Amino acid sequence: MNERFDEQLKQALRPVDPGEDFTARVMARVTSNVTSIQRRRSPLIAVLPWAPAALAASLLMAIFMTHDQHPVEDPQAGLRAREQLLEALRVTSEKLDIAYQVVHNETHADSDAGA
Amino acid sequence: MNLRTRLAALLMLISASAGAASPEPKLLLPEFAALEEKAAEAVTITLDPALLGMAAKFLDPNNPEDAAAREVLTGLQGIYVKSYTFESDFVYPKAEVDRVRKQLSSPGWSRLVEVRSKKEQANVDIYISLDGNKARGLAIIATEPREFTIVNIVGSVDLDKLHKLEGKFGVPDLELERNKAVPAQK
Repeated sequence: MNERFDEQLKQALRPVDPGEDFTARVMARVTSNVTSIQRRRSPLIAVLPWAPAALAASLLMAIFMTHDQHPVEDPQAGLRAREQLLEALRVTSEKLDIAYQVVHNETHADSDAGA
Repeated sequence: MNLRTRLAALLMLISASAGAASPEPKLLLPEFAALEEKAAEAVTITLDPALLGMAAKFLDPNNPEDAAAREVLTGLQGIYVKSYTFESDFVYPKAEVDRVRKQLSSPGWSRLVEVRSKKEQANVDIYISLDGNKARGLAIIATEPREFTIVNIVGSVDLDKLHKLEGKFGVPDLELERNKAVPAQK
């Protein structure tokens, strides 16, 4: 039984001449596959080959900018800035008030003396 | 001549004499790092354009104080305040304060008001930086034996609006003896 199986295996694996047009047929199929792959590529990429790189750069920039602006939207920082602003205006107003009072008093003193 | 007319006349006089050279309205304020420990109370406020913008977003339009602050903010590019209060007299370095005054003696800065109180030894000087007839900055140096304050506002300042904040912020009357006021033009 083993001998018969060996014989069958030799028959199946015997060298076979593919024919004279084998190379031509293989090359024709390869060319056809390459063309179909090229056809499947996006027309945008065909026209703008740098588009993927630009898209990737834009995405990176958007991520970076969102990250950079994060503190502006931080409520704690915003409320702290507001408190600082109100305190600064309070101090400024207080010091301006001293000067205004003096000018005001002087003006009144001048008009009283003139009367 | 009432108060507003007098201040307006002063501003016009100063604007007419302001030179072409306009100094930077942002002053170089000393760090006063050594004073932080000495002072009973220290207030350091640094609000650059970014922080001013951020603060504006958090102002409550329904709060009168916030609404008044928003009005003043228009045109401002920065507010810088350094204020120190001490428990004993004249422990702060007058030389450092004078160094700030020196910056204000450069062309373009004009002293708008000078207040000297002999009894209280309180001095308030208000300086304004003008570009033509447009205010570009304001500086206030207020000194008392136990307190000194430097305020620097950068941008188009409306003194009238700033002063009107007084009522809204509930600033108390300081009961100073204001026996001499010399509105001066440099």
